[in-house]
Amino acid sequence: MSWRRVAAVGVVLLLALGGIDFRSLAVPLLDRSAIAAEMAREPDRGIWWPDYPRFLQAVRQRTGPDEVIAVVVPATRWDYGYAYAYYRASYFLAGRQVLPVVGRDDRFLPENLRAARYIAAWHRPLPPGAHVVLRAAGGALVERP
Amino acid sequence: VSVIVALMTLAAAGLPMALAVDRGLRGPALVGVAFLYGSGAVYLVELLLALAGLRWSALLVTALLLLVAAAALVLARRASAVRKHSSSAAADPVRKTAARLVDLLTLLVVLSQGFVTTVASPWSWDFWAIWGLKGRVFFEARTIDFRFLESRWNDFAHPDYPLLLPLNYAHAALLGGSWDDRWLGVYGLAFGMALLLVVRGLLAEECGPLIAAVAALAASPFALSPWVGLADGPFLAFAGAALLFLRPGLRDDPAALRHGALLLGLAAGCKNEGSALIVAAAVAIVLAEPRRWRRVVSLWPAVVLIAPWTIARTLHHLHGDTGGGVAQLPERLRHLPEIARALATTLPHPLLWAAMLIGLLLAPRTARAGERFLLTAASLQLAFYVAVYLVTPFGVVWHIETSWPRIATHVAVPLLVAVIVMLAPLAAGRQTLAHAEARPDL
Repeated sequence: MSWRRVAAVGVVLLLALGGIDFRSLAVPLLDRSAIAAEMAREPDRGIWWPDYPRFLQAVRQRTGPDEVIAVVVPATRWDYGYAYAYYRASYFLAGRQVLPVVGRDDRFLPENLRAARYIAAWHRPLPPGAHVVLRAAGGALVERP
Repeated sequence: VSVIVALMTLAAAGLPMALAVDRGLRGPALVGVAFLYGSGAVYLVELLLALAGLRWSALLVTALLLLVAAAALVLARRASAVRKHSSSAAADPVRKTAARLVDLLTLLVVLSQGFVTTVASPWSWDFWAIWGLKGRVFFEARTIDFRFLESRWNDFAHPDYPLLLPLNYAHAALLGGSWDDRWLGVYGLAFGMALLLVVRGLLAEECGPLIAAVAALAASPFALSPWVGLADGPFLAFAGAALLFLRPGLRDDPAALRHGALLLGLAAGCKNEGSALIVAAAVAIVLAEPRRWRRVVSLWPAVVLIAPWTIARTLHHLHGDTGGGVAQLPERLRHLPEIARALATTLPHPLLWAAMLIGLLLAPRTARAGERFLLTAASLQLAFYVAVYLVTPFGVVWHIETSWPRIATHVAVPLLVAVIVMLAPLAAGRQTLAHAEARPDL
Protein backbone atom coordinates (compact mmCIF):
# COMPACT_ATOMS: atom_id res chain seq x y z
CA MET A 1 0.00 0.00 0.00
CA SER A 2 1.54 3.33 -1.09
CA TRP A 3 1.89 6.25 1.31
CA ARG A 4 -0.53 8.25 -0.81
CA ARG A 5 -3.15 5.58 -0.44
CA VAL A 6 -2.61 5.36 3.33
CA ALA A 7 -2.86 9.14 3.54
CA ALA A 8 -6.03 9.15 1.43
CA VAL A 9 -7.66 6.56 3.69
CA GLY A 10 -6.58 8.59 6.72
CA VAL A 11 -8.00 11.84 5.36
CA VAL A 12 -11.33 10.21 4.43
CA LEU A 13 -11.59 8.68 7.91
CA LEU A 14 -10.68 11.99 9.50
CA LEU A 15 -13.32 13.78 7.45
CA ALA A 16 -15.93 11.17 8.33
CA LEU A 17 -15.28 11.04 12.06
CA GLY A 18 -13.34 14.22 12.91
CA GLY A 19 -16.37 16.47 13.07
CA ILE A 20 -18.53 14.29 15.27
CA ASP A 21 -18.91 15.34 18.87
CA PHE A 22 -19.25 11.86 20.34
CA ARG A 23 -20.29 13.28 23.71
CA SER A 24 -23.35 14.82 22.06
CA LEU A 25 -24.50 11.35 20.98
CA ALA A 26 -25.44 10.78 24.60
CA VAL A 27 -27.68 13.86 24.73
CA PRO A 28 -30.86 11.89 23.94
CA LEU A 29 -30.19 9.80 27.05
CA LEU A 30 -29.64 12.76 29.38
CA ASP A 31 -32.12 14.71 31.44
CA ARG A 32 -32.38 17.86 29.36
CA SER A 33 -34.35 19.94 31.83
CA ALA A 34 -31.29 21.80 33.17
CA ILE A 35 -30.06 22.57 29.65
CA ALA A 36 -33.59 23.60 28.64
CA ALA A 37 -33.84 26.01 31.58
CA GLU A 38 -30.42 27.46 30.77
CA MET A 39 -31.24 27.99 27.08
CA ALA A 40 -34.64 29.50 27.89
CA ARG A 41 -32.79 32.14 29.95
CA GLU A 42 -30.19 32.74 27.24
CA PRO A 43 -31.88 35.68 25.42
CA ASP A 44 -32.60 37.57 28.65
CA ARG A 45 -29.49 37.27 30.76
CA GLY A 46 -28.58 39.52 33.66
CA ILE A 47 -31.13 41.83 35.24
CA TRP A 48 -33.69 41.13 32.54
CA TRP A 49 -34.52 37.53 33.44
CA PRO A 50 -37.18 36.51 34.25
CA ASP A 51 -39.26 39.66 34.64
CA TYR A 52 -38.66 41.60 31.44
CA PRO A 53 -40.01 38.93 29.05
CA ARG A 54 -42.94 38.36 31.42
CA PHE A 55 -43.68 42.07 31.44
CA LEU A 56 -43.55 42.25 27.64
CA GLN A 57 -45.88 39.27 27.40
CA ALA A 58 -48.34 40.99 29.72
CA VAL A 59 -48.11 44.19 27.63
CA ARG A 60 -48.80 42.13 24.53
CA GLN A 61 -51.95 40.70 26.09
CA ARG A 62 -53.17 44.14 27.16
CA THR A 63 -52.61 45.90 23.82
CA GLY A 64 -54.00 45.35 20.37
CA PRO A 65 -52.53 45.18 16.86
CA ASP A 66 -51.10 48.41 15.42
CA GLU A 67 -50.98 50.17 18.81
CA VAL A 68 -47.93 52.43 19.15
CA ILE A 69 -45.83 51.59 22.22
CA ALA A 70 -42.68 53.34 23.48
CA VAL A 71 -40.24 51.37 25.62
CA VAL A 72 -38.68 52.86 28.76
CA VAL A 73 -36.21 50.78 30.82
CA PRO A 74 -33.40 51.51 33.31
CA ALA A 75 -30.79 51.34 30.53
CA THR A 76 -30.45 54.73 28.85
CA ARG A 77 -27.49 54.02 26.55
CA TRP A 78 -28.02 52.19 23.26
CA ASP A 79 -25.09 49.77 23.43
CA TYR A 80 -25.40 49.22 27.15
CA GLY A 81 -28.79 47.61 27.44
CA TYR A 82 -31.26 49.82 25.64
CA ALA A 83 -30.79 48.18 22.21
CA TYR A 84 -31.47 44.77 23.77
CA ALA A 85 -34.59 46.04 25.54
CA TYR A 86 -35.93 47.65 22.37
CA TYR A 87 -35.19 44.67 20.11
CA ARG A 88 -36.67 42.25 22.62
CA ALA A 89 -39.81 44.37 22.92
CA SER A 90 -40.09 44.40 19.12
CA TYR A 91 -40.19 40.59 19.15
CA PHE A 92 -42.72 40.19 21.96
CA LEU A 93 -44.88 43.06 20.72
CA ALA A 94 -44.86 42.04 17.05
CA GLY A 95 -47.89 43.48 15.29
CA ARG A 96 -47.70 46.64 17.37
CA GLN A 97 -45.50 49.57 16.43
CA VAL A 98 -42.68 49.66 18.95
CA LEU A 99 -40.67 52.87 19.27
CA PRO A 100 -37.37 53.47 21.07
CA VAL A 101 -36.90 56.49 23.31
CA VAL A 102 -33.11 56.27 23.05
CA GLY A 103 -31.27 56.58 19.73
CA ARG A 104 -28.12 54.82 18.57
CA ASP A 105 -26.21 57.92 19.62
CA ASP A 106 -27.71 57.63 23.14
CA ARG A 107 -29.82 60.72 22.48
CA PHE A 108 -33.22 60.85 24.20
CA LEU A 109 -36.06 60.79 21.63
CA PRO A 110 -39.00 62.69 23.17
CA GLU A 111 -40.79 62.73 19.80
CA ASN A 112 -41.21 58.94 20.03
CA LEU A 113 -42.60 59.26 23.53
CA ARG A 114 -45.14 61.77 22.25
CA ALA A 115 -46.02 59.61 19.24
CA ALA A 116 -46.87 56.58 21.39
CA ARG A 117 -50.29 55.75 22.76
CA TYR A 118 -48.74 53.53 25.42
CA ILE A 119 -45.49 53.70 27.36
CA ALA A 120 -44.16 50.34 28.50
CA ALA A 121 -42.04 51.34 31.51
CA TRP A 122 -40.06 48.61 33.25
CA HIS A 123 -38.39 49.31 36.59
CA ARG A 124 -38.74 53.05 36.03
CA PRO A 125 -40.54 55.56 38.26
CA LEU A 126 -43.77 56.87 36.81
CA PRO A 127 -44.76 60.54 36.73
CA PRO A 128 -47.53 61.56 39.13
CA GLY A 129 -50.96 61.10 37.65
CA ALA A 130 -49.84 58.57 35.04
CA HIS A 131 -52.74 56.55 33.72
CA VAL A 132 -51.53 53.05 34.49
CA VAL A 133 -53.54 50.38 32.70
CA LEU A 134 -51.36 47.43 33.67
CA ARG A 135 -48.84 46.51 36.34
CA ALA A 136 -46.88 43.31 35.85
CA ALA A 137 -43.41 41.82 36.52
CA GLY A 138 -41.81 45.03 37.71
CA GLY A 139 -43.26 47.21 35.00
CA ALA A 140 -46.24 49.32 34.16
CA LEU A 141 -48.12 50.10 30.98
CA VAL A 142 -49.09 53.74 30.89
CA GLU A 143 -51.72 55.04 28.51
CA ARG A 144 -51.02 58.56 27.32
CA PRO A 145 -53.89 61.03 27.27
CA VAL B 1 -47.59 20.01 16.16
CA SER B 2 -48.04 22.83 13.62
CA VAL B 3 -44.31 22.75 12.83
CA ILE B 4 -44.41 19.02 12.14
CA VAL B 5 -47.58 19.41 10.02
CA ALA B 6 -45.95 22.30 8.13
CA LEU B 7 -42.75 20.35 7.45
CA MET B 8 -44.64 17.27 6.28
CA THR B 9 -46.86 19.43 4.06
CA LEU B 10 -43.77 20.95 2.49
CA ALA B 11 -42.17 17.57 1.80
CA ALA B 12 -45.42 16.16 0.36
CA ALA B 13 -46.11 19.21 -1.80
CA GLY B 14 -42.51 19.29 -2.98
CA LEU B 15 -42.51 15.68 -4.14
CA PRO B 16 -44.36 16.26 -7.45
CA MET B 17 -42.33 19.44 -7.96
CA ALA B 18 -39.08 17.49 -7.70
CA LEU B 19 -40.44 14.85 -10.07
CA ALA B 20 -41.64 17.50 -12.52
CA VAL B 21 -38.09 18.77 -12.75
CA ASP B 22 -36.58 15.30 -12.89
CA ARG B 23 -38.87 12.31 -13.36
CA GLY B 24 -35.95 9.96 -12.82
CA LEU B 25 -34.98 11.21 -9.38
CA ARG B 26 -35.30 8.51 -6.73
CA GLY B 27 -34.43 7.62 -3.16
CA PRO B 28 -32.90 9.92 -0.55
CA ALA B 29 -32.10 12.69 -3.01
CA LEU B 30 -35.76 12.83 -4.05
CA VAL B 31 -36.92 13.17 -0.44
CA GLY B 32 -34.33 15.85 0.30
CA VAL B 33 -35.08 17.88 -2.81
CA ALA B 34 -38.84 17.50 -2.28
CA PHE B 35 -38.58 19.18 1.11
CA LEU B 36 -36.38 21.95 -0.30
CA TYR B 37 -38.81 22.60 -3.16
CA GLY B 38 -41.80 22.54 -0.81
CA SER B 39 -40.12 25.10 1.42
CA GLY B 40 -39.26 27.22 -1.62
CA ALA B 41 -42.80 26.93 -2.97
CA VAL B 42 -44.45 28.13 0.24
CA TYR B 43 -42.02 31.06 0.30
CA LEU B 44 -42.88 32.02 -3.28
CA VAL B 45 -46.64 31.57 -2.73
CA GLU B 46 -46.59 33.85 0.34
CA LEU B 47 -44.25 36.34 -1.33
CA LEU B 48 -46.38 36.64 -4.47
CA LEU B 49 -49.61 36.87 -2.44
CA ALA B 50 -48.09 39.69 -0.40
CA LEU B 51 -46.86 41.52 -3.49
CA ALA B 52 -50.35 41.13 -5.00
CA GLY B 53 -51.82 42.75 -1.89
CA LEU B 54 -53.61 39.58 -0.74
CA ARG B 55 -53.51 38.61 2.92
CA TRP B 56 -52.49 35.09 3.87
CA SER B 57 -54.68 32.51 5.51
CA ALA B 58 -53.90 28.87 6.21
CA LEU B 59 -56.57 27.88 3.71
CA LEU B 60 -55.43 30.18 0.91
CA VAL B 61 -51.73 29.37 1.23
CA THR B 62 -52.39 25.63 1.50
CA ALA B 63 -54.79 25.71 -1.46
CA LEU B 64 -52.25 27.51 -3.64
CA LEU B 65 -49.48 25.19 -2.51
CA LEU B 66 -51.63 22.19 -3.46
CA LEU B 67 -52.46 23.86 -6.76
CA VAL B 68 -48.76 24.24 -7.56
CA ALA B 69 -48.18 20.64 -6.48
CA ALA B 70 -51.06 19.43 -8.67
CA ALA B 71 -49.71 21.32 -11.67
CA ALA B 72 -46.29 19.81 -10.99
CA LEU B 73 -47.87 16.37 -10.80
CA VAL B 74 -49.37 16.81 -14.26
CA LEU B 75 -45.97 17.89 -15.58
CA ALA B 76 -44.25 15.00 -13.82
CA ARG B 77 -46.63 12.45 -15.35
CA ARG B 78 -45.92 13.82 -18.82
CA ALA B 79 -42.16 13.92 -18.34
CA SER B 80 -40.04 10.99 -19.36
CA ALA B 81 -37.99 9.22 -16.75
CA VAL B 82 -34.71 9.67 -18.55
CA ARG B 83 -31.90 10.65 -16.26
CA LYS B 84 -28.25 10.12 -16.81
CA HIS B 85 -26.47 8.36 -14.03
CA SER B 86 -22.74 8.75 -13.90
CA SER B 87 -22.28 5.24 -12.70
CA SER B 88 -24.36 2.33 -11.65
CA ALA B 89 -21.66 0.54 -9.74
CA ALA B 90 -23.38 -2.33 -7.96
CA ALA B 91 -22.17 -2.65 -4.40
CA ASP B 92 -21.51 -6.02 -2.86
CA PRO B 93 -23.46 -7.08 0.25
CA VAL B 94 -20.57 -6.37 2.60
CA ARG B 95 -20.35 -2.79 1.35
CA LYS B 96 -24.10 -2.39 1.58
CA THR B 97 -24.01 -3.58 5.19
CA ALA B 98 -21.11 -1.25 5.95
CA ALA B 99 -23.01 1.61 4.33
CA ARG B 100 -26.03 0.89 6.50
CA LEU B 101 -23.88 0.97 9.64
CA VAL B 102 -22.42 4.32 8.61
CA ASP B 103 -25.95 5.57 7.87
CA LEU B 104 -26.96 4.46 11.35
CA LEU B 105 -24.17 6.55 12.86
CA THR B 106 -25.30 9.53 10.74
CA LEU B 107 -28.83 9.02 11.99
CA LEU B 108 -27.54 9.04 15.58
CA VAL B 109 -25.71 12.30 14.90
CA VAL B 110 -28.90 13.79 13.43
CA LEU B 111 -30.99 12.64 16.39
CA SER B 112 -28.57 13.97 18.97
CA GLN B 113 -28.35 17.29 17.12
CA GLY B 114 -32.15 17.34 17.07
CA PHE B 115 -32.26 16.93 20.83
CA VAL B 116 -29.83 19.82 21.24
CA THR B 117 -31.49 22.25 18.82
CA THR B 118 -34.99 21.67 20.16
CA VAL B 119 -34.11 21.89 23.84
CA ALA B 120 -35.80 25.32 24.01
CA SER B 121 -37.16 28.03 21.74
CA PRO B 122 -34.41 29.32 19.43
CA TRP B 123 -32.29 31.44 21.74
CA SER B 124 -30.01 33.31 19.41
CA TRP B 125 -30.16 37.09 19.22
CA ASP B 126 -30.33 36.83 15.40
CA PHE B 127 -33.43 34.65 15.69
CA TRP B 128 -35.54 37.01 17.76
CA ALA B 129 -34.08 40.21 16.27
CA ILE B 130 -34.12 39.15 12.60
CA TRP B 131 -35.46 35.83 11.32
CA GLY B 132 -38.02 34.96 13.98
CA LEU B 133 -39.00 38.60 14.43
CA LYS B 134 -39.91 38.95 10.76
CA GLY B 135 -41.77 35.65 10.77
CA ARG B 136 -43.78 36.81 13.75
CA VAL B 137 -44.43 40.32 12.40
CA PHE B 138 -45.53 38.98 9.02
CA PHE B 139 -47.72 36.33 10.63
CA GLU B 140 -49.42 39.03 12.71
CA ALA B 141 -49.95 41.15 9.58
CA ARG B 142 -50.84 38.09 7.42
CA THR B 143 -48.58 39.61 4.78
CA ILE B 144 -45.11 41.08 4.36
CA ASP B 145 -45.37 44.19 6.50
CA PHE B 146 -43.47 46.71 4.40
CA ARG B 147 -44.34 49.46 6.88
CA PHE B 148 -42.33 47.51 9.47
CA LEU B 149 -39.46 46.93 7.04
CA GLU B 150 -39.35 50.55 5.91
CA SER B 151 -39.37 52.01 9.43
CA ARG B 152 -35.99 53.47 10.31
CA TRP B 153 -36.42 52.14 13.83
CA ASN B 154 -36.37 48.58 12.49
CA ASP B 155 -33.15 48.68 10.50
CA PHE B 156 -31.65 46.36 13.13
CA ALA B 157 -33.80 43.58 11.61
CA HIS B 158 -31.95 43.94 8.27
CA PRO B 159 -35.02 44.74 6.14
CA ASP B 160 -33.22 43.86 2.90
CA TYR B 161 -32.55 40.24 3.85
CA PRO B 162 -34.40 37.64 1.74
CA LEU B 163 -37.45 36.10 3.36
CA LEU B 164 -37.58 32.36 2.67
CA LEU B 165 -37.07 31.39 6.30
CA PRO B 166 -39.34 34.01 7.93
CA LEU B 167 -42.13 33.13 5.49
CA ASN B 168 -41.71 29.45 6.32
CA TYR B 169 -42.00 30.32 10.01
CA ALA B 170 -45.12 32.34 9.21
CA HIS B 171 -46.50 29.31 7.34
CA ALA B 172 -46.15 27.12 10.45
CA ALA B 173 -47.89 29.82 12.51
CA LEU B 174 -50.70 30.08 9.95
CA LEU B 175 -51.27 26.33 10.17
CA GLY B 176 -51.19 26.43 13.97
CA GLY B 177 -53.36 29.56 14.22
CA SER B 178 -50.91 31.38 16.53
CA TRP B 179 -47.23 32.22 16.87
CA ASP B 180 -45.37 29.59 18.87
CA ASP B 181 -41.59 29.58 18.57
CA ARG B 182 -41.01 26.61 20.87
CA TRP B 183 -40.31 24.09 18.07
CA LEU B 184 -39.04 26.31 15.28
CA GLY B 185 -35.56 24.86 15.81
CA VAL B 186 -36.83 21.78 13.99
CA TYR B 187 -36.68 23.73 10.72
CA GLY B 188 -32.89 23.91 10.82
CA LEU B 189 -32.74 20.19 11.47
CA ALA B 190 -35.08 19.49 8.54
CA PHE B 191 -32.99 21.58 6.15
CA GLY B 192 -29.82 19.86 7.35
CA MET B 193 -31.38 16.44 6.86
CA ALA B 194 -32.51 17.44 3.36
CA LEU B 195 -28.93 18.28 2.42
CA LEU B 196 -27.61 15.03 3.91
CA LEU B 197 -30.22 13.10 1.90
CA VAL B 198 -29.11 14.88 -1.27
CA VAL B 199 -25.46 14.04 -0.57
CA ARG B 200 -26.36 10.43 0.21
CA GLY B 201 -28.58 10.03 -2.84
CA LEU B 202 -26.43 11.74 -5.45
CA LEU B 203 -23.19 10.09 -4.41
CA ALA B 204 -24.82 6.65 -4.20
CA GLU B 205 -25.69 7.02 -7.88
CA GLU B 206 -22.19 8.05 -8.75
CA CYS B 207 -19.89 6.01 -6.59
CA GLY B 208 -21.88 3.50 -4.60
CA PRO B 209 -23.53 3.39 -1.17
CA LEU B 210 -20.47 3.15 1.06
CA ILE B 211 -18.71 6.26 -0.22
CA ALA B 212 -22.09 8.03 -0.25
CA ALA B 213 -22.76 7.04 3.35
CA VAL B 214 -19.27 8.15 4.43
CA ALA B 215 -19.73 11.49 2.64
CA ALA B 216 -23.10 12.06 4.32
CA LEU B 217 -21.61 11.30 7.73
CA ALA B 218 -18.69 13.63 7.02
CA ALA B 219 -21.07 16.36 5.87
CA SER B 220 -23.20 16.18 9.02
CA PRO B 221 -21.16 18.60 11.22
CA PHE B 222 -21.59 21.29 8.57
CA ALA B 223 -25.08 20.43 7.30
CA LEU B 224 -26.61 20.30 10.79
CA SER B 225 -26.03 23.95 11.53
CA PRO B 226 -25.64 24.78 15.22
CA TRP B 227 -27.07 28.25 14.55
CA VAL B 228 -30.59 27.42 15.66
CA GLY B 229 -33.38 29.45 14.08
CA LEU B 230 -31.09 31.38 11.71
CA ALA B 231 -31.09 31.30 7.92
CA ASP B 232 -27.58 29.88 7.66
CA GLY B 233 -28.90 26.31 7.98
CA PRO B 234 -31.46 26.66 5.15
CA PHE B 235 -28.96 28.60 3.06
CA LEU B 236 -26.24 26.00 3.26
CA ALA B 237 -28.81 23.28 2.47
CA PHE B 238 -30.01 25.05 -0.69
CA ALA B 239 -26.52 26.20 -1.65
CA GLY B 240 -24.94 22.81 -1.03
CA ALA B 241 -27.67 20.95 -2.88
CA ALA B 242 -27.49 23.45 -5.78
CA LEU B 243 -23.76 23.02 -6.29
CA LEU B 244 -23.99 19.24 -5.88
CA PHE B 245 -26.67 19.07 -8.60
CA LEU B 246 -24.85 21.48 -10.91
CA ARG B 247 -21.80 19.21 -10.73
CA PRO B 248 -23.42 16.27 -12.62
CA GLY B 249 -25.54 18.80 -14.51
CA LEU B 250 -22.44 20.17 -16.16
CA ARG B 251 -21.56 16.62 -17.23
CA ASP B 252 -24.55 16.66 -19.57
CA ASP B 253 -27.33 15.79 -17.15
CA PRO B 254 -29.95 18.43 -18.02
CA ALA B 255 -32.31 17.43 -15.21
CA ALA B 256 -29.56 17.88 -12.62
CA LEU B 257 -28.73 21.23 -14.19
CA ARG B 258 -32.36 22.32 -13.76
CA HIS B 259 -32.32 21.24 -10.10
CA GLY B 260 -29.08 23.12 -9.57
CA ALA B 261 -30.38 26.33 -11.07
CA LEU B 262 -33.66 26.22 -9.13
CA LEU B 263 -31.96 25.42 -5.84
CA LEU B 264 -29.46 28.19 -6.45
CA GLY B 265 -32.32 30.66 -6.82
CA LEU B 266 -33.90 29.40 -3.61
CA ALA B 267 -30.55 29.73 -1.83
CA ALA B 268 -30.68 33.40 -2.79
CA GLY B 269 -34.16 33.44 -1.25
CA CYS B 270 -32.59 32.56 2.10
CA LYS B 271 -29.68 34.96 2.37
CA ASN B 272 -28.05 37.70 0.32
CA GLU B 273 -25.00 35.47 0.07
CA GLY B 274 -27.10 33.44 -2.39
CA SER B 275 -26.85 36.20 -4.98
CA ALA B 276 -23.07 36.04 -4.65
CA LEU B 277 -23.30 32.28 -5.05
CA ILE B 278 -25.16 32.66 -8.36
CA VAL B 279 -22.28 34.80 -9.60
CA ALA B 280 -19.72 32.33 -8.19
CA ALA B 281 -21.48 29.41 -9.90
CA ALA B 282 -21.71 31.30 -13.19
CA VAL B 283 -18.02 32.19 -13.15
CA ALA B 284 -17.13 28.62 -12.14
CA ILE B 285 -19.16 27.22 -15.05
CA VAL B 286 -17.20 29.41 -17.45
CA LEU B 287 -13.82 28.67 -15.88
CA ALA B 288 -14.47 24.94 -15.60
CA GLU B 289 -14.88 24.61 -19.34
CA PRO B 290 -14.34 27.93 -21.13
CA ARG B 291 -15.26 26.51 -24.53
CA ARG B 292 -18.75 25.71 -23.24
CA TRP B 293 -19.28 29.02 -21.47
CA ARG B 294 -22.78 29.35 -22.92
CA ARG B 295 -24.01 26.80 -20.37
CA VAL B 296 -24.04 29.64 -17.90
CA VAL B 297 -27.39 30.62 -19.48
CA SER B 298 -28.89 27.49 -17.92
CA LEU B 299 -28.79 29.30 -14.56
CA TRP B 300 -31.66 31.55 -15.68
CA PRO B 301 -34.20 29.96 -13.27
CA ALA B 302 -32.06 31.20 -10.38
CA VAL B 303 -32.31 34.76 -11.64
CA VAL B 304 -36.08 34.43 -12.16
CA LEU B 305 -36.54 33.16 -8.60
CA ILE B 306 -34.68 36.04 -6.99
CA ALA B 307 -36.42 38.66 -9.15
CA PRO B 308 -39.64 39.21 -7.11
CA TRP B 309 -37.88 40.00 -3.85
CA THR B 310 -35.12 41.98 -5.55
CA ILE B 311 -37.71 44.17 -7.29
CA ALA B 312 -39.84 44.52 -4.15
CA ARG B 313 -36.98 45.56 -1.93
CA THR B 314 -35.74 48.02 -4.55
CA LEU B 315 -39.19 49.58 -4.83
CA HIS B 316 -39.41 49.83 -1.04
CA HIS B 317 -35.86 51.20 -0.73
CA LEU B 318 -34.69 48.41 1.57
CA HIS B 319 -30.91 48.56 1.61
CA GLY B 320 -28.22 46.53 3.32
CA ASP B 321 -25.26 47.76 5.30
CA THR B 322 -22.42 45.86 3.67
CA GLY B 323 -19.83 47.50 1.49
CA GLY B 324 -20.08 50.89 3.15
CA GLY B 325 -16.44 50.89 4.13
CA VAL B 326 -14.79 50.95 0.70
CA ALA B 327 -12.80 54.01 1.73
CA GLN B 328 -11.18 51.92 4.45
CA LEU B 329 -9.82 49.35 1.98
CA PRO B 330 -6.22 50.67 1.88
CA GLU B 331 -6.11 50.64 5.68
CA ARG B 332 -7.60 47.13 5.78
CA LEU B 333 -5.02 45.85 3.28
CA ARG B 334 -2.28 47.04 5.62
CA HIS B 335 -3.78 44.84 8.33
CA LEU B 336 -4.13 41.68 6.29
CA PRO B 337 -2.16 39.51 8.76
CA GLU B 338 -4.53 40.55 11.56
CA ILE B 339 -7.53 39.78 9.35
CA ALA B 340 -6.07 36.43 8.32
CA ARG B 341 -5.47 35.59 11.99
CA ALA B 342 -9.07 36.42 12.86
CA LEU B 343 -10.32 34.26 9.98
CA ALA B 344 -8.11 31.36 11.05
CA THR B 345 -8.90 31.49 14.76
CA THR B 346 -12.67 31.70 14.28
CA LEU B 347 -12.89 29.06 11.55
CA PRO B 348 -15.36 26.35 12.66
CA HIS B 349 -14.16 22.73 12.53
CA PRO B 350 -10.53 23.64 11.73
CA LEU B 351 -9.54 19.97 11.79
CA LEU B 352 -11.98 19.21 8.96
CA TRP B 353 -10.77 22.18 6.91
CA ALA B 354 -7.18 21.04 7.38
CA ALA B 355 -8.16 17.54 6.29
CA MET B 356 -9.93 18.96 3.22
CA LEU B 357 -6.82 20.95 2.33
CA ILE B 358 -4.59 17.90 2.70
CA GLY B 359 -7.09 15.89 0.67
CA LEU B 360 -6.97 18.47 -2.10
CA LEU B 361 -3.20 18.26 -2.22
CA LEU B 362 -3.24 14.46 -2.15
CA ALA B 363 -5.80 14.07 -4.92
CA PRO B 364 -4.51 13.28 -8.38
CA ARG B 365 -4.35 16.28 -10.72
CA THR B 366 -6.87 14.69 -13.08
CA ALA B 367 -9.33 14.29 -10.20
CA ARG B 368 -8.90 17.94 -9.24
CA ALA B 369 -9.50 18.94 -12.84
CA GLY B 370 -12.72 16.90 -12.78
CA GLU B 371 -13.93 18.83 -9.76
CA ARG B 372 -12.91 22.23 -11.10
CA PHE B 373 -16.47 23.54 -11.05
CA LEU B 374 -17.15 22.74 -7.38
CA LEU B 375 -13.71 23.85 -6.22
CA THR B 376 -13.91 27.13 -8.14
CA ALA B 377 -17.48 27.97 -7.10
CA ALA B 378 -16.82 27.27 -3.42
CA SER B 379 -13.49 29.13 -3.43
CA LEU B 380 -15.02 32.14 -5.15
CA GLN B 381 -17.85 32.24 -2.64
CA LEU B 382 -15.40 32.26 0.26
CA ALA B 383 -13.34 34.90 -1.55
CA PHE B 384 -16.48 37.09 -1.83
CA TYR B 385 -16.95 36.83 1.93
CA VAL B 386 -13.37 37.89 2.58
CA ALA B 387 -13.78 40.77 0.11
CA VAL B 388 -16.86 41.96 2.04
CA TYR B 389 -14.82 41.94 5.25
CA LEU B 390 -12.24 44.15 3.57
CA VAL B 391 -14.86 46.83 2.87
CA THR B 392 -17.09 46.37 5.90
CA PRO B 393 -18.19 49.61 7.54
CA PHE B 394 -17.87 47.84 10.93
CA GLY B 395 -14.76 46.90 12.86
CA VAL B 396 -13.31 44.17 10.68
CA VAL B 397 -12.22 41.84 13.48
CA TRP B 398 -15.59 42.25 15.22
CA HIS B 399 -17.39 41.56 11.94
CA ILE B 400 -15.31 38.42 11.35
CA GLU B 401 -15.79 37.16 14.89
CA THR B 402 -19.55 37.60 14.75
CA SER B 403 -20.18 36.15 11.30
CA TRP B 404 -17.30 34.00 9.99
CA PRO B 405 -18.04 31.03 12.30
CA ARG B 406 -21.50 30.90 10.65
CA ILE B 407 -20.81 31.74 7.04
CA ALA B 408 -17.55 29.84 6.59
CA THR B 409 -19.61 26.65 6.57
CA HIS B 410 -21.91 27.79 3.73
CA VAL B 411 -20.07 25.93 0.99
CA ALA B 412 -18.21 23.43 3.14
CA VAL B 413 -20.43 20.48 2.20
CA PRO B 414 -19.84 20.59 -1.58
CA LEU B 415 -16.11 21.14 -0.93
CA LEU B 416 -16.01 18.18 1.40
CA VAL B 417 -17.93 16.02 -1.05
CA ALA B 418 -15.50 16.97 -3.82
CA VAL B 419 -12.54 15.97 -1.65
CA ILE B 420 -14.08 12.62 -0.71
CA VAL B 421 -14.99 11.86 -4.32
CA MET B 422 -11.44 12.71 -5.40
CA LEU B 423 -9.83 10.63 -2.67
CA ALA B 424 -12.15 7.62 -2.85
CA PRO B 425 -10.49 6.00 -5.89
CA LEU B 426 -7.04 6.68 -4.43
CA ALA B 427 -8.06 5.19 -1.10
CA ALA B 428 -9.50 2.19 -2.90
CA GLY B 429 -6.31 1.76 -4.88
CA ARG B 430 -7.90 2.71 -8.19
CA GLN B 431 -7.16 5.48 -10.62
CA THR B 432 -10.76 6.28 -11.49
CA LEU B 433 -13.87 6.83 -9.48
CA ALA B 434 -16.17 4.66 -11.56
CA HIS B 435 -15.04 1.45 -9.97
CA ALA B 436 -13.93 2.73 -6.61
CA GLU B 437 -16.46 0.56 -4.82
CA ALA B 438 -15.78 -2.45 -6.94
CA ARG B 439 -12.69 -2.87 -4.79
CA PRO B 440 -13.37 -4.55 -1.49
CA ASP B 441 -10.57 -2.87 0.46
CA LEU B 442 -11.80 0.67 1.12
